[in-house]
Amino acid sequence: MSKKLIAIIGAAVLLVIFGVSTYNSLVDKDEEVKLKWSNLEAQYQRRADLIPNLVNTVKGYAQHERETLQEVMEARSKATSITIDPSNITPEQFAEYQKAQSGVTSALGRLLAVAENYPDLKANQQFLELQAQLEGTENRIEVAREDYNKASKSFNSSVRKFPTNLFASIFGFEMYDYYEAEEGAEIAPEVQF
Amino acid sequence: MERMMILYKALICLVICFVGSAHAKQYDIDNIEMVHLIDETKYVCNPEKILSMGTVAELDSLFYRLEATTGIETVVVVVDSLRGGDCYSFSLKLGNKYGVGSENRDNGLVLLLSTSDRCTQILTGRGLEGYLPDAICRRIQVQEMNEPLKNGNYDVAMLKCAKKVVSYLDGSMVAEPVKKGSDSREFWVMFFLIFTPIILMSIWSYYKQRKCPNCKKFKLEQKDTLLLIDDKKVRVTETFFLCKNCQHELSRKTTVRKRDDYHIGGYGGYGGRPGSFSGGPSRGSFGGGSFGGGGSSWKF
Repeated sequence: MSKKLIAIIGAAVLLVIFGVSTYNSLVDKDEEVKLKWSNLEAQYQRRADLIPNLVNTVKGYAQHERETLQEVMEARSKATSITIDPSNITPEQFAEYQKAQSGVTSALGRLLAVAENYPDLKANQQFLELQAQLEGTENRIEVAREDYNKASKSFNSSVRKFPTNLFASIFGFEMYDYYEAEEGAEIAPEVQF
Repeated sequence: MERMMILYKALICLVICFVGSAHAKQYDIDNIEMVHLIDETKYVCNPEKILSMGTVAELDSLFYRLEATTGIETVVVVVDSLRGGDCYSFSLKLGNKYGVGSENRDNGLVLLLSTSDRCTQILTGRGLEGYLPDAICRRIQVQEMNEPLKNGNYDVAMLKCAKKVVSYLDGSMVAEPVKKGSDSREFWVMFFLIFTPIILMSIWSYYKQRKCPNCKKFKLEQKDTLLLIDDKKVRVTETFFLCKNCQHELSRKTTVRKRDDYHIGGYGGYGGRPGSFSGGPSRGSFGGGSFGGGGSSWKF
């Protein structure tokens, strides 16, 4: 066996080893992004599950606020009707999903602002606890969104950096979109007493 | 006289402003001292002495017992004012920075009270959210803390809160046994670091001894040993070797000097006051837990 052949085989083996380890690390990062996304979706779902209870509680005290309540329910049903897989969507679909979720955030914000006008409602234990759960969920959504963006950033920079980008294009890894901060979402709905 | 009075009043105002501004230190996560990292039995960061010594001691013992039985790590922070004035973001950053709670169970707990910002926060790690849901946290804040906080009775508020929180968390989980994994790894690393050179050196000296200076092969074999001198100070021996490859013969002299300065019973030096060697409190640590935003924030 000539020395040339040995060198070629050696180089090929090294390339395969490098390719496998790169592929595996990309798969790990990809899975991490998917995990963070599912966590974010779970938090959105949790918020959606809280809304009917909240609406029912508010309805008992604030019957004149039918419009606001209707708005919340509509935003909720719009948001829950969209489910996406972030690895396989267009930026427009992603933006639509974000818009639907931020619609829920702002509708809830309005509902809680309306609740301010009803002292009996504000003193209601069930309302207080629902409100706490809602605030906690908003906080969790914020954390989950940050986690998703962090994982996406780590994956995207791997996909773009040399020489990983060569393997990423061969194996068909594509970059993830980032989750933009919602308009006004940095202020979680909060009622001052 | 009137002018003097105005000057006097202005001076007083200036002093009050100065003292006030010097006193109202705004805390962020970088300038708050984590007492637990200095002493493992302390959990309450109370830099402005807002809580009394007795309350701090009681809280410390409550959370020490909680950690001992359940493994839940707690940080209590009581300050006058926070930079930014937001209890939630301060406690989230603090908890995540120090990794309160164990890494695989995320069972950290942060209790925060900022008196000037009039806010309080119960922040639960991901692993505690099931045992201490947001609604329960809010209930504790409304039912136990709100009244004393409004009256400025911070000791009572924090104690009531802590007792209630502990009552929910008691028995929720079992403390993890202290992991020996990292210690045993360190032991083996040290073992190899110390013994590998010794083993390598003895192998090297063995082969060096067997190398024939004539044919350069490791074929020397020991034939005989002669004792030349053996007195109180020195022992000299001569060893004869024969190379199995080239039949070359050689002899090597070995001199061993004897120590003549043995002093039996030269040890000692222990003693001193009993208990004086403890070297202060043992430092605590956090397990690297993270927070997902669970818990409840309350403005009183």
